[in-house]
Amino acid sequence: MKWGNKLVLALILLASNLNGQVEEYVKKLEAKFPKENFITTLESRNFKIVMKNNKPKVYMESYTEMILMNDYLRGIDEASVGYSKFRKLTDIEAWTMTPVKDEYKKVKVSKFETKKELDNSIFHDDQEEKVFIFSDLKKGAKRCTKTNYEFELPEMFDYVILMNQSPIEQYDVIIEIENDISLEFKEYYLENKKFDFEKKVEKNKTIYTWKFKDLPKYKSESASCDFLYFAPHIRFLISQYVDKSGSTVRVLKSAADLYKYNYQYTANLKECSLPEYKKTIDSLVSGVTNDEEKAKRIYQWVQKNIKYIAFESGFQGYIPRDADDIFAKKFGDCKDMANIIHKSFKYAKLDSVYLTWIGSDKLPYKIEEFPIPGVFNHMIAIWKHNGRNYILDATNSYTKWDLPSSFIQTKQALIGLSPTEYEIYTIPAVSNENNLKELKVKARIAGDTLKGSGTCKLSGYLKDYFIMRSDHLKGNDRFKFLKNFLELGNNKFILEKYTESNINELDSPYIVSFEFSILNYVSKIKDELFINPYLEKYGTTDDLNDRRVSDIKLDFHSKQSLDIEFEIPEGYEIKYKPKNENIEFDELFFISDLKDKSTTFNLYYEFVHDFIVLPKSKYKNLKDFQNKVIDLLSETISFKKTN
Amino acid sequence: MKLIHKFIVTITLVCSVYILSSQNYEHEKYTWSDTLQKYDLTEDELKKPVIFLKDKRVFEIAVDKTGVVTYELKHSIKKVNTDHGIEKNNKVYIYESKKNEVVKNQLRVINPNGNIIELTKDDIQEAVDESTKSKYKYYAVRGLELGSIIEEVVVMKTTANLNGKIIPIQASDYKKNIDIEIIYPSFLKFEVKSYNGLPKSIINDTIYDKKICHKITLDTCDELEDEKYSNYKANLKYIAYKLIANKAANSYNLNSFNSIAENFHGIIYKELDKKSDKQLSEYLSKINFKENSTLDDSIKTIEHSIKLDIVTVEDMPVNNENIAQIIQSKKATDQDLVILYANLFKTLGISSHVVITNNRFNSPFDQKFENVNQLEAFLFYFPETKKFLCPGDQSSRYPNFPYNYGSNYGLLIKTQDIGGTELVVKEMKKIDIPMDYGKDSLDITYDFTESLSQPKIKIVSTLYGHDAENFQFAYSFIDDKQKKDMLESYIKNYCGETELEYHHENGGKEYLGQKPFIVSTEFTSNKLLEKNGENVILKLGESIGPQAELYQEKERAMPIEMPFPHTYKRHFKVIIPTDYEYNNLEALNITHELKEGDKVSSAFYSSYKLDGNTLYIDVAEFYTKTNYPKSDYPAFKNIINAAADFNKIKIILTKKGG
Repeated sequence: MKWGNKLVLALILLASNLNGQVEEYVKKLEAKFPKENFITTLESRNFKIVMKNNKPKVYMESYTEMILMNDYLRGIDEASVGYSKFRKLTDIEAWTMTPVKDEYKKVKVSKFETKKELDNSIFHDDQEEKVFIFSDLKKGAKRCTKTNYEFELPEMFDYVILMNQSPIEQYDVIIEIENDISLEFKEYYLENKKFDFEKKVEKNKTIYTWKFKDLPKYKSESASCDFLYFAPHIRFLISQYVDKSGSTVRVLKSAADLYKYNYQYTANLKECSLPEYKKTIDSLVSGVTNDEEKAKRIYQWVQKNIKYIAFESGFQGYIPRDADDIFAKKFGDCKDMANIIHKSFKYAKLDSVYLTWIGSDKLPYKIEEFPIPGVFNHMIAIWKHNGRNYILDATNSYTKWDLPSSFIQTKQALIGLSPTEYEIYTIPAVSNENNLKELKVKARIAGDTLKGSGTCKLSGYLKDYFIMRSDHLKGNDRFKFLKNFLELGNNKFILEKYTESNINELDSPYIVSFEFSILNYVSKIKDELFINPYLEKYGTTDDLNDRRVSDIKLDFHSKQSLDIEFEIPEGYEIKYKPKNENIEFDELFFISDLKDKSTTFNLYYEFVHDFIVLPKSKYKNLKDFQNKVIDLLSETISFKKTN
Repeated sequence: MKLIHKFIVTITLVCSVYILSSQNYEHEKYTWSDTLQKYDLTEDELKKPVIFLKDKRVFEIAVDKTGVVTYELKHSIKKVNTDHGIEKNNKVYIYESKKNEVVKNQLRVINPNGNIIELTKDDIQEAVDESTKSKYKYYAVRGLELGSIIEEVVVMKTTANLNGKIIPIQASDYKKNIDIEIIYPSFLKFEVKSYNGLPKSIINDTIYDKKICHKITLDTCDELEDEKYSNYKANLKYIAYKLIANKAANSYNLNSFNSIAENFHGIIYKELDKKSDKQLSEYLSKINFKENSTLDDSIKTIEHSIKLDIVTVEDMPVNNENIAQIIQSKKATDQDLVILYANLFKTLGISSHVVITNNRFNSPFDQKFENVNQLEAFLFYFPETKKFLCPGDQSSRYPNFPYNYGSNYGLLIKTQDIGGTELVVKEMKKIDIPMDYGKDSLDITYDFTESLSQPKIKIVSTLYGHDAENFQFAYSFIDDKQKKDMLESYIKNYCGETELEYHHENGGKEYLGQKPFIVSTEFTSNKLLEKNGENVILKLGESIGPQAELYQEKERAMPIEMPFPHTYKRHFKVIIPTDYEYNNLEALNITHELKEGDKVSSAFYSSYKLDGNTLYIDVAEFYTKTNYPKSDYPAFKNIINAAADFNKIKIILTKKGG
């Protein structure tokens, strides 16, 4: 829906004068879907699955009809239809039904032009589109598009998503399948949707029909799970079919079938042979006796030296390139990185390494629940050693050895153990203890300024994300970034000096030591001084409102703490101090501990969030938690002059 | 803005005197050297992610069978020193179209160990766009390592841009060995201009046979870092060139704005056909002018009616042939709108001139170098009111117009009576942005009389001019939920609260330029309080929202440039119980000014008045100009920081006698 983006900035003209029936129809729609710029009045997907050349073949006819609820929308006349080598576009027709007096007149689109859009994330693929322009559009006019597709592989015929950028008045899904072919389907998030479903078995074919009415439009929200975690959709697969000889051929009946299907793409990969490549691996492991150290060195070499560039044209999207080729080019995508790790490990005699398929956190699926290739969108390598699975994903060049990429935590991996054996393994979530921000500060009051020094230590994903955002920054840009990152109190935080260590050390936490002043931070009245000691406002930043519809999704568990030692100004004593608090809730904790010593007081507080996905049902608790934290962080400490 | 090109007289070069040599262009056989040069770099240079060791570019204007073309040679040698440097340079995209053809494309990577990896045909992918008859050639650069050198020789053959081409020299990467040449046949004459401290080009007519060469060489060119409140592109070093004479055809003064002004004037004010004349009168009769309208009122009324009635579109979907069609189709291009407005003003006897300008943030309009490519956008100027109007912009209202076109010069087209003959003349007009372009007024009351921990807060925000535009325009097209989201994120700035009940007035495009947009809300909250036993600390400053700051900036490199003049007024009223008192109010007295002579051009003022238990605070912050010299930076910084300082003000309320 490329043109959808343009509509965000759409310019709309005054309503035109429609008459009679068409006008009434538009009014009815306006009442049903108020304030919409356009409405999808009909979507339909008609699949025909037949035996051809002794194999199942899938054809689809798709129809989309969209009505304009305003006279002019910038960009609404532009349309495109995408396709690829595996999802061939065999026919396309488009037309406008434009209101003339009180009737609809059909105006055909005559020109369809091929266009390839370049993508930032995938450098090269085989996606193309036909672009075309609808004419005679005005309020009440309908844009109609009919397309026909042919699926190259029966395994690739996949799903129908029942959500769009506009509300959908009617959505029909029909599958006609020959009785020699077995269809399975799974419905997602249709529990509360009203729809008609029918399965009609005829002599030679079976017809499945779903009819939906009044489907709501897509709304994007911050910190939410990906679209497929809430958009109603149906997935399909062909589990088996009976061929000419009468034998039953399994396609995707089980996880084993899916593994067999995936394995074919990696069956013929060559071992490493380039002398320079071998020399590089030799130099990495020479003199190293410990296997884990060898493994780590090879993995980190790939992480650093192979840059991520994705090529996904046709089978290129499934078959990794050979390790020699990747070594020479110094770039590759996930499957290439998985393969070069795999082959390099093998060459270094670290044999228990396996190519592995996995779905990222964009996909809500489980492998055995519905075994289709669409469960996966990523490849990694797994090394089994000392009874453990080491997860090797070199697509992120900053990830610490033995940590998975954050986006595959809790996801199921399909480990290819041999041509016929596989293992399903769930990647564990990395615990909050491994993703730390530890801030230690010593501070003293100087006039109305708070001065001090501190260190900030980052580990795990908190380090990853920090380095990813800052690695390229130099000079003044780096200074500004650090000043913002280290800001304590408020933006009158002056970063006097800083020293960084372990920026490029993948194995050690990043540490920055710094000296700072926060100007005008201390309030003074008569003989009393006031400061808010909670220099970091942990746990208060999430935006929540009751209109939110989706679960909250964060990238990882984490723990952030601040340990401050304040010097009590000479000649003063503490008059008022906040209480110690423990605010606990299922997946969130806030602990604060203030200790009063004679010349100093120490404040330690930490904020832990121990979830990746927090269901909407827990919003209320989260809000209560936040309010309590905000309340605590608004406490100040005051000092009074001793007599 | 394709329109302008319709008014440009196409320059046809008579090239009969120019005999094509066997070589199409001087650098046809140019390639990289077989011997690899060694580069000694300083430690600082090695720290830069990418360093240009060579930036050679040659623009040769030549005549061939297809017409006048430019051969653009680029020979660059870059060293990548960091992973980020590799990632920035390991993908190459080359745009190709009918007017932009790749003649030569060589690339090699020279690795620190001396290995050389050259680009091959197989590396290159193509992305074709049939609709624009263009394509991208793209490829990933093989074999890049830290310390690798990327050497590229690319020649593009392009349709010559003779009207005013800009060549950027300075960039965000540091460069060494810069060598720029502009070459053309000696029967032509070009004007070449250097900007922002770049040395003037040296003209030489002996290097190449029967050709003139303008040459600029620089040993180094520092990277320019962006700065807050600046116009980055305007400050980069660049060159502009354009054709001014074709001696072979005895054509001189080419590419001057005179002929454009004349042509353009002729098109706008050409005599109307009968149908258009009639439609125009009818259209005018439907516009509801206020009684006793001033000139300002009339201009506003015309603009508002047209903008609510006719939508601006790109060239493609409409093809209006005359004013009658513009009025009927209700869709118009910028060009159509200029014609419509001009004729309406003329009919009403409102004196107006068309001004053509460009976006100053791309390259400021140079009044001394008539660059036709800078004629992009239209405004009307009214000599009696000295104000401007933008016909093509749907949301701005006279005297406001998109600020990108202001604080800039433009080509003003008018007629002058010279000896009884009316002649079209040009004028370079400074386009000033109105001083009250954006205005924002905020009234906040905190009432602690019923509760010290949950005061009643009332916020009224009144937005004028440009500040109101986004809300008013968007409100015509969004649903109630989206409106609530919009108000919520706006009000949250001032109080930290969400999910309040909001009241708003004058949302919708019908209010644009007519009335201010007002949003108000009342609630109780502790978000702006800090606690300290019986004492209450009101973080009053936070209720002006987060403020930009310039507390710790390095030495300023660029002059100051703001998008538009702006005024902020804030009024606070705080009421506390009679047994409480205010402390530390002196922090509320702030004065910072930036003066030009005696005139204050920008300032931040804050003061308070105490009346029993009620505290009144008045804050004003304004910037009447967009541009300030670098020497004003210290004073300017103080004003910006004064607002940021105010944002941190806390008022401590203590119990009397406590």
